[in-house]
Amino acid sequence: MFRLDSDASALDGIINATGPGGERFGLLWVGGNNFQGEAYDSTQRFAIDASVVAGAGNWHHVIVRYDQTNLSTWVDDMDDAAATSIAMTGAQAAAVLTAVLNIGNHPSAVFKGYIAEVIIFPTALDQTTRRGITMYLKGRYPSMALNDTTTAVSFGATTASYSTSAKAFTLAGGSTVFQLLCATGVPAEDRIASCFLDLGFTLTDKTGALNYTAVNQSYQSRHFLKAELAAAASITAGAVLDHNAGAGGTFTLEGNSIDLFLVPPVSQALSGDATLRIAFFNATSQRIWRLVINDVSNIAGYAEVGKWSVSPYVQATYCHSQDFSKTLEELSPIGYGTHGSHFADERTAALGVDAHMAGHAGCRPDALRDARADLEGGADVLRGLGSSLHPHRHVLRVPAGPCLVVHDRPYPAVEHPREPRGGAGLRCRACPWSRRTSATVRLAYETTCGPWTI
Amino acid sequence: MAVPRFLYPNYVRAASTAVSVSSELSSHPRHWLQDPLRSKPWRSKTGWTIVAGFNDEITFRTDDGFRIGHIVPGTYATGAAMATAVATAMTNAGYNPRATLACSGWWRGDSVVVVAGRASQATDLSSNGTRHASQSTAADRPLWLQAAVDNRPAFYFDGTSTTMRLSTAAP
Repeated sequence: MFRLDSDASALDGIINATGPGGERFGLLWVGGNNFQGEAYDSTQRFAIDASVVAGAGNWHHVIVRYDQTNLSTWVDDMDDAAATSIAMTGAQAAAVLTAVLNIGNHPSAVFKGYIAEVIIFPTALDQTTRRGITMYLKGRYPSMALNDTTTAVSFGATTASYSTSAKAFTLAGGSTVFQLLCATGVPAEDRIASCFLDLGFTLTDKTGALNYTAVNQSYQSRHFLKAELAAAASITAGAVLDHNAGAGGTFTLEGNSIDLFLVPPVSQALSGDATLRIAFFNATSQRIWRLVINDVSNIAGYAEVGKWSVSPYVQATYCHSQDFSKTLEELSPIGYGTHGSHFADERTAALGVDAHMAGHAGCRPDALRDARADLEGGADVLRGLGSSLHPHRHVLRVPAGPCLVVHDRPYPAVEHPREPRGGAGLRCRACPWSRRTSATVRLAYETTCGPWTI
Repeated sequence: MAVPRFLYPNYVRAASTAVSVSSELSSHPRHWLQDPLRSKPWRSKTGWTIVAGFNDEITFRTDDGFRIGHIVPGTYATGAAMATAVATAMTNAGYNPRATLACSGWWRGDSVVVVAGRASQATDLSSNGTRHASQSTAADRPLWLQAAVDNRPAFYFDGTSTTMRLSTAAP
């Protein structure tokens, strides 16, 4: 599967096997609309052209076959009748079998264009097999030009039905015994690499059968969220707050430097409960992060995630005693930035303390609304910790214990924060409301537990 | 006592982060994940969502060998519609080059090692699994494009020096 650039030169080596003595077997683009299969034993060269209507700028599927008698080429076709062939003589077979494969090159011609897939076989494929392989490619690359009017290698009387009451698929192969391999629970040895991209079915019967049921109790069991960071960032934690996954639902955080997750270098399951799923792991720097949701017990008909965090985690660097109140900067040498956390991993169900906004008198409505939004954002976390947001008084009820929540907003920092006046809490760091349309609001933390040890 | 941990900063909420999803309801869009309000969650569409390169490939074994089919991407609102799509994919499935035919080498754009946007290795998907095509010289590595054709990746060779090769004979 490849595509020549529209400005490709008149001679491009797409793929070839080159032996130690200069012998070759492969495929070239020779200009016009012609591809050329080639076999060369260092003394005698055989070449056969196959043409298409439009060569460059389009995706093509080309087959070159050597069967020890003929060199044959197919372009966007695979039937015997469509082959262009030339009879061969000499010791070509030995030359080919000892050659080293080059992709995108040839001793006298380099390739300019795209290659999506290359497959080589140790035997010359017959028509039925070529059709079968081509059907795979056609399914994977539906935009590929292909004369497939006679290529169907049908599986047979395959039918599938769905029972709303049982929430299960029934797949039947007619008279053909079959075994579905690409579904959750299939042994790894039966998969191909891409089969990790399974459908999310859970099979109740993985043995060969004329039919069997694939249970999928949710309307959609498999989803993903993907965050492409502007640059790689060191991540040590992932979390999901407020989700509708059932008890058997799983969340897996995957990270990679590229948007490809067949076998990602980072794959971390999140654990937790019906509200919060979280995982901490060794620092890894990746640019693209994907959260895969597999939930076969969700009967809501949709997947839902309230907040998703991909973050490094920081820990307190100071010891605190009961009734002390500290600001974020004192927690860690890492200062607070323009976007804050919504998560904390420790939960208790003990006494609570009030966190409240101060200095609202005279605040302009829009600033107050922003502050309210921050309060609710903080409540996203705090609710997961057993806290609640008072609907009218802008008061957060924070549970006691080592439950620390930090929240800030990407608003302009202010120069002269007010000093806390008793108690801890959420404060307008300044209220120069008459000059600003927004303000930084911070939920400071407070602990009512004993001193921490680091 | 355990030391509390803060998840900070949250890169999902960073302005420079691009968030994508397998599907979304227009009333619960993905950008709500970046909003601090609890009342703004992301929600998927109802139905089975099939995404190319994520969950569209279905493999199975029949009495004539292993096969690979592809379900047409989209959201299927009902189980019956999804069942029909599965049946179509199975009926039109092609041969699995590895399992049925024992191909001696199989390289494709979604099985790669990428360094700085270029493919340093195309990992062999054949049953042998060891005949990786590679390029050790950084400047000679082909570019790797994530969605070059039908939302699937491919290698781009620039017509000058980019190439990949096997260090041993392929067959």
